[in-house]
Amino acid sequence: MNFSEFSFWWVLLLFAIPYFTVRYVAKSLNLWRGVFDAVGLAVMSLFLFVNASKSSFAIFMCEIIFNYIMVWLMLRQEKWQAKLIATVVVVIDIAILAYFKYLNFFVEDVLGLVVPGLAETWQSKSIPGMGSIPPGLSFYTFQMVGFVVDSYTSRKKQPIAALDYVNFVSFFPQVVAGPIERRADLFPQIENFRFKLTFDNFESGFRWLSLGLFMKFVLADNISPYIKLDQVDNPWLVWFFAFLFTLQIYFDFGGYSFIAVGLGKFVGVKLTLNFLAPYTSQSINEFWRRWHVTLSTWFRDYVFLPLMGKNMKYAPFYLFITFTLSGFWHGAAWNFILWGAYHGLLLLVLRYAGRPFYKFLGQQKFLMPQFISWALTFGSVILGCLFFMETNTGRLMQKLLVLITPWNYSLSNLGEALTFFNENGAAALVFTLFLSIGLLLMEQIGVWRQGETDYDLLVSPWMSRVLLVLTILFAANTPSPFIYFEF
Amino acid sequence: MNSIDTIQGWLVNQIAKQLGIKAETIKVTEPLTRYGLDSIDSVTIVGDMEDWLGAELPSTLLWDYPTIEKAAKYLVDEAGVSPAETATAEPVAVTSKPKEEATQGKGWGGLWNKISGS
Repeated sequence: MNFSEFSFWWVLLLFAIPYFTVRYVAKSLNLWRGVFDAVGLAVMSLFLFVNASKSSFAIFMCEIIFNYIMVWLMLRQEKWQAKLIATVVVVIDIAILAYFKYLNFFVEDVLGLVVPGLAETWQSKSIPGMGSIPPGLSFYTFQMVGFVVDSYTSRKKQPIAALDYVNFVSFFPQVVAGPIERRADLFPQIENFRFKLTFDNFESGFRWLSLGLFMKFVLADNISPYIKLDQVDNPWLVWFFAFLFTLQIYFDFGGYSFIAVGLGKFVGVKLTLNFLAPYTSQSINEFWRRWHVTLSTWFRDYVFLPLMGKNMKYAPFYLFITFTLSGFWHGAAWNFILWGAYHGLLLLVLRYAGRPFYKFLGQQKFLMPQFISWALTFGSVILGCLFFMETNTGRLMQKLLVLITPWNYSLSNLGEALTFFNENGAAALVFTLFLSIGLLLMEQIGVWRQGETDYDLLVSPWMSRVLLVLTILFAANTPSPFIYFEF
Repeated sequence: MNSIDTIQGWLVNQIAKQLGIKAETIKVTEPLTRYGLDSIDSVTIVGDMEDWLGAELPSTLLWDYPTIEKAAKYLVDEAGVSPAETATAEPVAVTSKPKEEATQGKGWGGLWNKISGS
């Protein structure tokens, strides 16, 4: 759901106020049945989804019906029949995703490379579904695929109620942009769903909501206008804008994920934390355990581990392939494939060249070895973000060339970079960066404290109230679109 | 030595061997990625551990329980795994409490370690 849009909150209230009023009255008259909670959640989720995107909702409904029937059949079969059904469902789900998300890219950018004029011919045809990608398709497809596989491998084969399945795949805080929930984590909470409207849940939900709103509306949205993609000549500025984007993408998607966690908690559902203070990482391995956790674990469980099986011989190759595919999941464009491949390559470099380096650092020949590891990791992530932010492949190559040319790092270019923004713009940016660094520092302290989560300080009672006040005071006037909605 | 200590000792040795680092430098409470453990190592170590314990373990064990302490506790307390009498780990210099000098360097590095609690 688009938490930036007023209509989301409006529709939510428009449904929630009469629904919970009726629920309260009916409960006091002893007329309310538990199943009405599950029905209410399903109606609320579907109502919000149709409000968010009618086209995506239509595809979603077809997929829900198809997946539910097939899983229902699968659970009644044994051995190869069950495996066959699972395979068919996964192939069809991925084929639907591929049609809406990758067909254009495949024809225009892959086949178009070898067949001259194909891209133009293709663009002139009006093929249904070839416009923008239906919002949430990548996320709910992955959740449905995961459910099929987990149901197939599960030892318990008892039937699943249709209403429970609808609530599992359409739960409104996370259906459009995750967290991509797994059967073992979410289904037990959703099965025979009952609203748990307690003060503790409300308080806990409010704290996560407050953190998410602050990250999105104050930090991400105030950083966004300063990022200039067309700057290609000055390496200082290229680095700086990549740095700003690195902050923006985390605050944007992290903010979204925490709002989802908060909304989940309001109704008594615990969603998975999609981010675990990723910018505190001291290696790329660690970064990928902290960044977009539910997508990383999805690829680990359904791509990397099955590819590898017991054969460790080609494990490095499979790791590289998994990361490249993960990049491709983000978007049907070369820059996302390059971004995934870059991270896969970094992991391999770290595996084969990084260990001697770690040993070297471990001998304490450097001051602050952990700081060096952190700085190298963060620098690598920033460079990766350059691939991610730049969908124009030609311009991306230009920027990379500028970055690797030593004499571009001249003092005159530095001077130009320092005077790039006017005084007012610079002051607002410095203030936003000050808040951003403050937040990242509190995450780092959270990691050191080893509490329940790395965000313990940021979701403490007093801090969540401070963050809410800061959001009211400094929220950007014009919210920028959620970056991950494009995927 | 109880089951948790035995498993911790085995993991410390195995991780030290896999990563080519000294066992004394490994803290059981530190996330394993801090020592450079990657996805391939995680799966390899769990495979070796299955052979050692003679039990089927989840491949994702070291993701779900990212420190030696957490993994060992899970295996003993939740999965009900206990190392056989004969399957004792090689002795290690450090299990739950690493030597102070292993983590406390000199100068700024040492200060950073103190600040970060590593």
